[in-house]
Amino acid sequence: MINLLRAEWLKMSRRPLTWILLAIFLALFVVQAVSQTALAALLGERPGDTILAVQIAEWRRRVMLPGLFGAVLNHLNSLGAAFVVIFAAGMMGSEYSWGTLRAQLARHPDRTRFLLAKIMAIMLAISAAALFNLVLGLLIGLPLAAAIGSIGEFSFADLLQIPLALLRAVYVLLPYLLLTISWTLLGRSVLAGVAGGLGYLILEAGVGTLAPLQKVWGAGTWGS
Amino acid sequence: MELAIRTEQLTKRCGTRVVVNDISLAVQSGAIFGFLGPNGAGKTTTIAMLLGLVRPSAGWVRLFGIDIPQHATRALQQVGAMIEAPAFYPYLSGYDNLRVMTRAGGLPDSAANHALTLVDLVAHSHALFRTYSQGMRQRLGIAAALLHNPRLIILDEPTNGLDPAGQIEIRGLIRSLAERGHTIFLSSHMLHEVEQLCDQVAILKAGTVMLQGSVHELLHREPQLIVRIAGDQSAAIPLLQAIPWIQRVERHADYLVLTAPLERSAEINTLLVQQAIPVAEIRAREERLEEMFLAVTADRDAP
Repeated sequence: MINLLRAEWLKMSRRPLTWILLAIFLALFVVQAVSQTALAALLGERPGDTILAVQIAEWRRRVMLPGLFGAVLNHLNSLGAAFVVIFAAGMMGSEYSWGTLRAQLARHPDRTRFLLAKIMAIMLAISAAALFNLVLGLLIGLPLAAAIGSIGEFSFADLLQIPLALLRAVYVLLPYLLLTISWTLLGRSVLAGVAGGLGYLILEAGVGTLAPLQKVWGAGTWGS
Repeated sequence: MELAIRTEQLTKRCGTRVVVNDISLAVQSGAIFGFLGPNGAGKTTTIAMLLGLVRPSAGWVRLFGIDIPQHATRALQQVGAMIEAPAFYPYLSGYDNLRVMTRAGGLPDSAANHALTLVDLVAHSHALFRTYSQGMRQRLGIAAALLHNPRLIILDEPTNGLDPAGQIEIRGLIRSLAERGHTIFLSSHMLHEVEQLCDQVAILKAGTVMLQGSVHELLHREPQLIVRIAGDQSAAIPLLQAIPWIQRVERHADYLVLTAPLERSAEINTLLVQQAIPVAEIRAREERLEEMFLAVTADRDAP
């Protein structure tokens, strides 16, 4: 299993798609952090609890400690899901389009082990991307926070929570990964995986917008 | 002698269509076995069943006595294969593509270097696979099949897309592998290649083995003589047909083909000359595998 995992890691780490997706994912975080901080600095602090005042405070909080960690985790669990879908579909589906899956199975016929190694390698890559995002968040966020006033406060207890929070964020992405792999296997193509995974994400977001109806119809029928 | 490949009544059905029908093969260890057949004859499906990639509808496969697909993992440790076009990751170099395989198989990276040396691809080993010519791709495919020094090497069209020099080189490589004791199962359209290389051959048509045996025996199974008459050959035909030890007389445009013992050619000559039929030439007909292949795979139901 370790051998298969090492082989998957070599394929993944040398593939341009991996680095392009990571670069776009991190660039989006940087753009978001810089633009929101710039807007917060431009608009200045607003008194009261108007929507604008609350939004500006939120933007400032996202580059300060410990809110910065929340912003990183939020980026992972929102946009990260879409990137996981594209990445996983690319990694699995290309094996069909290039014919490499057949060649692989002709050498190592255990399909389950191959699939497990693939999923584990993708999870490792997602974990590495989460770490990159965290480090980049600190490198970008703290100077931005300092520029607009304060970098915030950070306790040892907060520090201990970071690894667990990152693991949780990566774990939240696992269902999207598994769903995408399943669609890719069913359709035997990258396109099937991307369509299935993104389709589910859109469906999930759509269903999410219906959540306020819970108040209309009463909590009793939707659970507590 | 140990059998590298043994199949018995191997059959694959796709719905109502029979793709492979009742194939029984016996490939001796150390032999170069040619697997011939026109497109769509079922060659690749048979190879896929040998490798456990496709489950047979009936019959069984054993590689070195080990059942496929029940014990595929154990059996395939002794097998290297290149099926159809060589399949590799286009964004990796030839060397890294092989490293993916050595890592997956728990082999040292030096195995990749050794295989690249065998197929003479060291100079291009760090170029990306997508920049490789067809010939280089074929060679890398063979290198991948050789990585773990397997006892049985299955090659599907290994000289496909190669220039004549490349074809000769690959044939040389196949020969040297056989000399080192590897068993080679060679699926090819290049009939002269199979004739030059193979000890045994099976000819497949519409999923059925039409002919199987040693190349030498198959090519010499029916002794034939070519008789060229100087002038009109019509008079010679009834005369030759009357001779009991001449099994068949075939008339061609300017010569006759007789199915008869080669050592009796002098008698035929004497007989014809006695009847004032001048003989321009009598010689043994050397059947080529190509002719045999065409004869075996010809659609006999066609009008």
